[in-house]
Amino acid sequence: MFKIHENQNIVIALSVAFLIAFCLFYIVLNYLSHGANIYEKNFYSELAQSSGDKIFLIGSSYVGQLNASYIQKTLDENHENYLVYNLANRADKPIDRIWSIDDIISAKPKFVFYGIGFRDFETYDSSDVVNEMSHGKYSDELLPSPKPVLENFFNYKLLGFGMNESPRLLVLSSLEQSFNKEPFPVSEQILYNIWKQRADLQKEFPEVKEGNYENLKRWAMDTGWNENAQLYPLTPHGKSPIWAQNNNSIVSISQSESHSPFYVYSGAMWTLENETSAKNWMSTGYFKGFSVQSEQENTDALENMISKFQQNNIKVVLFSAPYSKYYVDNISNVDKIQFISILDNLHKKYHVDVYFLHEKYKDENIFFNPTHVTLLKSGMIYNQDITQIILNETRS
Amino acid sequence: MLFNSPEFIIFFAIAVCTVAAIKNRKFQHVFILLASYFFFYYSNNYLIVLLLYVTLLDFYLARAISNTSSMLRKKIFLVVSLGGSLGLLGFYKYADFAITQFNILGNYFDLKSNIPLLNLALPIGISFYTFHSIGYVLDVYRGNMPPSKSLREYALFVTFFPQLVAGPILRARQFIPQLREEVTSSPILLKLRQIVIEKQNLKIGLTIMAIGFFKKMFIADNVAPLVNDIISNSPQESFSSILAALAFGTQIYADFSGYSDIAIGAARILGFVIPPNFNNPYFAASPSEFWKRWHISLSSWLKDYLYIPLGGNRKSKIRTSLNIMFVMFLGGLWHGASWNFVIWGLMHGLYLVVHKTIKNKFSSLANSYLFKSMTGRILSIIVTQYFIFLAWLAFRVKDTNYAILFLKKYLIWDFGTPITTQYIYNRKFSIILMISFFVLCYISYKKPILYQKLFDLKLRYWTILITSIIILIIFFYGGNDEFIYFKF
Repeated sequence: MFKIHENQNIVIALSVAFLIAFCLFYIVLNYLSHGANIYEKNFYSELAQSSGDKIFLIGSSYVGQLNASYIQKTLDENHENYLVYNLANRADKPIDRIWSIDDIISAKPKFVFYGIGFRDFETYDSSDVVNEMSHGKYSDELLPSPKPVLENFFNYKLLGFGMNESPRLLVLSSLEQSFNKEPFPVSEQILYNIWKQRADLQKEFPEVKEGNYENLKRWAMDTGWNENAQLYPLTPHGKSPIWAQNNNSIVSISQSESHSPFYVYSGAMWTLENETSAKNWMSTGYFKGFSVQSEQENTDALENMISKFQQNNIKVVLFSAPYSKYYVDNISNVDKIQFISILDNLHKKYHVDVYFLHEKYKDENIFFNPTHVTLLKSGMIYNQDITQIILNETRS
Repeated sequence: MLFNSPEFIIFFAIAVCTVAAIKNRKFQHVFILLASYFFFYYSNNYLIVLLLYVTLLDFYLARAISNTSSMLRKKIFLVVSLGGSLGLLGFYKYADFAITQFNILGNYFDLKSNIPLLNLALPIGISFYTFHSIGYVLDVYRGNMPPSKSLREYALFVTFFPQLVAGPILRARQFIPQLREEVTSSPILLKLRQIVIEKQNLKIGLTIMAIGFFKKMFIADNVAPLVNDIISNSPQESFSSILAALAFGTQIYADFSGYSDIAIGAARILGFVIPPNFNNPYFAASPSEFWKRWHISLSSWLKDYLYIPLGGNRKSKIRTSLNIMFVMFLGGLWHGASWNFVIWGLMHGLYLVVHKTIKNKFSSLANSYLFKSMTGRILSIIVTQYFIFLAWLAFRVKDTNYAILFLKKYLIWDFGTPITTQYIYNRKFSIILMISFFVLCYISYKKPILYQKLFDLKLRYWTILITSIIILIIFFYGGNDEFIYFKF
């Protein structure tokens, strides 16, 4: 039996401990972790000092695949005098992005091209559990499983976010990490490690052959790499330097980092092989539907940002993120119409141009997973179209 | 259900409150049993059938062993029981490994053997609950304990949720008596124990659990990225190989002893005492001392139920050595169906044999001034741990060729530092944690009453301690979900 009087002091002490810890956590979560981290702040403040007109690409991972170096090069060739920066953040949503809006504005861009996807308004609530079970995440269980129901309840209903996957926790950890991050030299060892880990790179680029490290080094130097180049710690999403693809070659670390400071792709050097591999991805990456709350919060955030950009004479252009048929064909027409209508309303209310790409390439073999375009040559069509949109907008 | 998940915290809080609220002692026991099944079912789903199978099989066979006076029948029942439990363990855990080896061997002899893999789901905790059950049957067979009085009592021993999926490996004769209490002064008149949440147990249990969470979520999960960084690259120089061994040694100790602490603490709150599973293993001065301090429940199980029945050290020196090697080979294999675990087990077997041989040949050494002095002790610890950490490399690196490269770099020193400096630079936090953890271990080694002091802290200081641990866990959670020993 529970000895109330004997135990109550310990129970109270334990409750106090939890209360203090979670209050502190809540304060940090809500007042300190939002906004750009220290590394990002430095980046924006450096950019604010620099001269020249700037174009920012912002959005989530589907914007991260855009090759700012390629866009830059094409604009240069077309005598458009802009500096292009890809400021995508993984799993970014308008409600996250809005916390760094002042930093973005402080860097005084001329244009902001904002990629918007279905995920920006997506929900995660208990109704998803049924979806998850039918989509295979738990489908190998023979008996009914309480796990997804309870996980969902504890993480999303009770705590309000997933303890293990909360973007807010990621931001929190990135905040902590950012204190430790300083640029460090791109040593030969790092190049060697990249070379070792990039079997796909070798397939795609015959000049990079196994056992031919010296050639890789010479070739890397030709493309701008040097041993004293500074590799910025690309926060908070990955640790590997980007190997973005140019038209004919690969952009070196030093080039790409100056154009894509926050986003790193470490695994996009392939395309979906077949339906089976697409389905494997889909087991964790299907669209879960919109929710009133998420839609409202993110639409409001998006509207606020557009309004603030416009007040600061920054032109905003929206485009929808490209998806493969494996993803987009599984989205109901109702949801698609809803998505289009959100963007359409923004167009009407703020007179922003909107380009719809979400179904444009769905049948093309340009995706490395159902929701992301590959960095290989086949994915260049996405870069080319975005470049053309930018050219249209800068010339209009 | 993972201990380090919000689900477990809520599950455990509900379980403790319900046990406290139930007045009927029989209902209390039934409730803990059902809660344990729910705990298991939550992560294992239909594989709960295997747990039920082991429970029923060994309960009735142990009873049959006890009831028969015929030695032959006893042996038959024992063989059936061992066959049933070990067969289950072997089939689920080692079938695909055996098929793979068979195919490789067949191809080596050009037999073109290609038996398809079964791709069975590995039931979580199977290595632990089968060992619980086997130990019980062997104890009954040897007459070390009477069979359990009821199926409920036995099922609760096998499934008791704090220790169900990753140990410590409980002995029935330690646990089952805790389910009963004396009605009068006569030890024969026993009835089910009333489970009372005692103030002292609550405080001790919560403290041990908090320390366990601290070890797992703050230390192990934050050292893990350093280990992964180093292991995912081939070792370029000895220093990185040594750093990998030290980092993984820290991670696995913090991870597993953290799990054991949570299990021991949770059981303690419910009024059950589970013996400690670790006792400062990294301060062992010989391989045999290490195994008295590391995963104590497994090493003592292997000793009692395998090494001694094989003859232990009562036979010839060669036979003793072979017994040690065989036990350690199985001990390695118990961890998983992979050659790296076998190599790890054999390395420890070799350490034990070499140590025993040296001890026998140079018995005077032990009494020499050097080995009795503090310097000798420190020297012994360093040499022992050098080899213990070497074995961790074999344990962690799955690819055999890669593992050999790591071992070679660890043993044959060629110190360059650029890559290791990079690792240290990139993972400063992990390095700081490793050093801090070793300092804490040293303090705990030098002050064995440290835990007791923590239990006896005044409530206000105890609250500060618990608050600090919770804050550290929340703010520096490494995010590496699983406990390493869940896979075994």
